Amino acid sequence: MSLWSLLFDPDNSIWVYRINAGSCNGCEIETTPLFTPRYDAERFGIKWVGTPRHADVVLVTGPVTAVAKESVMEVLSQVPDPHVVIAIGSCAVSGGVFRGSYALEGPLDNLYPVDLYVLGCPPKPEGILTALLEAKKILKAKRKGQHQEKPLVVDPAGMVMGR
Amino acid sequence: MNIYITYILLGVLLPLIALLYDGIERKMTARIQGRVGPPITQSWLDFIKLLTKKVKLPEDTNMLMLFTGLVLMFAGAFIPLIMVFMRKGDLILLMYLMVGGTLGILLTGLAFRSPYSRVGVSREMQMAFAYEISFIFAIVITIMVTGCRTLESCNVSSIPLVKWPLLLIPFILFLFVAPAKVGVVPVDIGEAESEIAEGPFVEIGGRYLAIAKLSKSMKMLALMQLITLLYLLPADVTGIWYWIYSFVIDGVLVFFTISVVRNAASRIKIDQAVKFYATVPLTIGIIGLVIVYLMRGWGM
Ligand code: SF4
Repeated sequence: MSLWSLLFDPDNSIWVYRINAGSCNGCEIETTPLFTPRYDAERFGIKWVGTPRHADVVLVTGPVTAVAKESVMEVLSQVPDPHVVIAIGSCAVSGGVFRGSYALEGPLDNLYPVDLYVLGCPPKPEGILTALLEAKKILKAKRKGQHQEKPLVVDPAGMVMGR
Repeated sequence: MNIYITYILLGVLLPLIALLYDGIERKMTARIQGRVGPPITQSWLDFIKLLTKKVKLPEDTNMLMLFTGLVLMFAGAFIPLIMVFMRKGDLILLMYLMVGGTLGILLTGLAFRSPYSRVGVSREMQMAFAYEISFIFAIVITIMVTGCRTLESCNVSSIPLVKWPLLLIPFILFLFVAPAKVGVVPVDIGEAESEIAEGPFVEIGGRYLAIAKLSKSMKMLALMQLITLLYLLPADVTGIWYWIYSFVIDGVLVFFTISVVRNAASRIKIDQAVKFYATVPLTIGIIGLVIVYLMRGWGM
């Protein structure tokens, strides 16, 4: 990292909030290792926060179920701008194995604009980490007032597609 | 004229250094846990990031309370920070200002109706009752032993060698109180990040949160420098060496009272914490006060 970005780049600080919108918990289990010594996401300035009002990035896991929809929308409305929404796992991207169920209101992009998709059931921590690092660039663009037209897709092992 | 320039320079630089110490503390924590850890400027980057975010507050926020709380919190950390580094001012005033900082946290939390912030405020208040009394005991014992009240002269080097062991009592009290006053893991029950989402700060964001975080790091540096100044500063360290010595010793103190404690223990419950602070440090404080009082009676 250059001295400039070490001292003045606000995009090197990303606070992440997680929403479980009816996930099977598999995706949560894969996000937790990000802060273990093996992946150590904190070295990129990434930090978990416990409240949407502190968040820059929101990770949503699970297909949005009818019960969860209201809370998910409420929480997303509390996140201050600029922010990035990432859909984690096949469920959040497309409904996954639950697609077509009577209990679903999702997937998420029917309800709220999504900036990044991470594929996989569940995705690997590498994929999630790549998505968070991509979110840095999207945040930078959003701070300047630009908006990307097409969302990016990260495959389970951390390759970025759709550039 | 010169003195004003010094104050302005310190007023700008010391908060930055405080944020840097916060970053160093995070780095040390990461190294203890076997991780690489964030760059030491991370807290500074977080601060800048928070300033660039838009503020989104709940509609029913009590703005007057929020502003009073933030001002008190900031003043309760910023003024002590300048005072201890310039070695100007009164020890009793310093004590009041630092207790005022705690009051600021309570008012900030009370500005919102979120149950998390209410729980945080109630826990913070119970903690404050438990540890502030030991903090006051520590300062009172120091004043009684050294027999002076100003920060310039109230120092371990201003008293004869035989009295030095007496200062061990307030020093130990300070070591007990420091983690609670700064709010780190075993006793950060009011702000517990993973249970009640930073308690009093749960609803604030953007620049308000930036002020809260800055105040927290400034409070940490001020407390460390206060300990250095009162108990660990030899008389012949002056001029530029005073600054170098202070910053080094502050770093060592941060390591031992914050990083090690934080990694060695997990968060305890509020009743355990209150019970601990109401027994061990308080007993040490009362015994210390009695010893010092008797010694004075014997003319020492
Ligand atoms: S994507 Fe797979 S692991 Fe993730 S919530 Fe859905 S079913 Fe569970």
